[in-house]
Amino acid sequence: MMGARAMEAILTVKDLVLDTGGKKNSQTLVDGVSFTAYRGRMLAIVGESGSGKSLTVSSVAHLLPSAVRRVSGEITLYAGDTEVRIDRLAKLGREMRRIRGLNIGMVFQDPMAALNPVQTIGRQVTERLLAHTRVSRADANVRAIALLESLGIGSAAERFHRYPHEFSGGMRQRVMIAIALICDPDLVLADEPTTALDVIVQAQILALLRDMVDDGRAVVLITHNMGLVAEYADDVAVMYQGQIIERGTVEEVLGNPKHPYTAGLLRCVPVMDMDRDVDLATISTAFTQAQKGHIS
Amino acid sequence: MRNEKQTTTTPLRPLKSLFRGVTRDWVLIVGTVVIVLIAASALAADLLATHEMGRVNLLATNQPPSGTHWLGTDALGRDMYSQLLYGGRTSLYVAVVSAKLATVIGVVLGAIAGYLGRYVDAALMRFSELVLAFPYLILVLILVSVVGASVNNLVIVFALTTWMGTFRIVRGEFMSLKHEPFVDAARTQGLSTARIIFRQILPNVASPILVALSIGVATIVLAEAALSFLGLGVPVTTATWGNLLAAAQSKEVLRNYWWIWVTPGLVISFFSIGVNLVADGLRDVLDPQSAKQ
Repeated sequence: MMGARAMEAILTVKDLVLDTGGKKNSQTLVDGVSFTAYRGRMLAIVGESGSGKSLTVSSVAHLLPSAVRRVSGEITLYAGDTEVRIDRLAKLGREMRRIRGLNIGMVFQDPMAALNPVQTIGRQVTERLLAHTRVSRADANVRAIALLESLGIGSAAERFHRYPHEFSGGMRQRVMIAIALICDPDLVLADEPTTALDVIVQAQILALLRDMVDDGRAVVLITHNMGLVAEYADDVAVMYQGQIIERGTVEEVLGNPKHPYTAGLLRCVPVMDMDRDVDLATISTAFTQAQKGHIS
Repeated sequence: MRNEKQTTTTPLRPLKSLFRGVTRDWVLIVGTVVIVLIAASALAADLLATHEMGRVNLLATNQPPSGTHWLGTDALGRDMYSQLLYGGRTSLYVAVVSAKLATVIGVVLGAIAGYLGRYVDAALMRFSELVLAFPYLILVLILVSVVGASVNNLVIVFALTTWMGTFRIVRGEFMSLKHEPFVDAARTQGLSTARIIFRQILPNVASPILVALSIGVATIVLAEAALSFLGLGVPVTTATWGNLLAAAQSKEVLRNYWWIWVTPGLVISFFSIGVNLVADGLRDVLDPQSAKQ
């Protein structure tokens, strides 16, 4: 974002405004958000629950909940040589379905719930490929097995016909990632992909996302885990109450936060060697302290 | 020896849970055996029957059970045992085919109503209530008088009048399942609505559908018997369990010739009890919560 080498944009969101659109008590949920995801960069969107992170990402896939009635702003996806204005496509139209299938991969928060409990892993990974491309089932299976192996699922050919409940949480998330990657999209949206996982698996999953970035994809990661952001992301956008209040590279934002909220957010993260007798800050205390200039 | 060893090493299972496990299997096994016996003997009627189907013998009317006529004969001297076997064919054909047809109608409409919701759901719901609220017998009477009484017309009549239960079950399941994250995940993969409904969600509803289907078969066997008893079912020239039972309309038969109505009545009862046992057993076996004990 800041390091202005000639970076190739995959997705640009410009002045995105979402609100509930009621006549009397219309509520603005996302208020003028703009960002760009570049090829080969991982953009982390951080912020507390309800800050509009997830809605922002849902609007990229054009899958907003029906409570969001008014949408404005431009969402442009650069697929190959063409530009697609996602906000202008019909939500359930054939074109939008194709873009969702081929150009955008999504990884969800809870891999147990996001996998269909009564279908085998193999079928779920290949379904997208079979729905959007003309490959035979046999070819699709070969591709899926290779992909699963490359994502660290050992003896994938045997596990291919197993059901989600036979997999551990981390393995299920790898399967979700396989589903996201099977059609080789340029853009991957990961909505808190590690919230339901333990620390070691979190690191493994983030490493896989990092690999995707290094393979030349653009990844947008939604999280509130600052540690993961510091370690894996390239750029950060901090959201607060529907707005992006600070953005920049990881070094800039985490090293020298300009906005008091960002500073407050960082104070909520426990670090080694911190004073044991002082309570860990919560957002409200940290934010007010930061606003009063108590930041050291 | 081995038993002793086991009782000493493994902790005692609570007696209740042991009993529950046994009854569940017992229910399923007994039900399956009854159904399979009845269905197989109806299918193998050509081999098992001692007399030709519908063969009238006026020299041996109303005979009690004997060596030549195992279950006696009716007012026209037809062998009750053979009539029961052949009648089972027609009765089961009607029941199975119409229950399947009704299930297809119920599943497709229920899936669409539950998934799409709103006015589609409202319209289909009102339509099902309309069919449900209409007096059943009058509806059948109208349909039979319009399309005429034949075996296949009866199948259509039953299919059109019994799909509402499955429809409601499937609709309800879809209404809750469509909010599951895996449906959202399917949508983000750009799958079409039809693919999501029938390939992603429908397999999750398989077990209630299967239970509803088996109960539907039993219901239609009973309904066929009732209709035939009233003379509205399969034409009397074709033997069915219901047509055989219809002989009991005469008080004379009821009083003096018990074998003419007791046996078809017993077969119908056993079959529908068997199906209900299987449905009960299936419900337990297919329930993922109880499957892993």
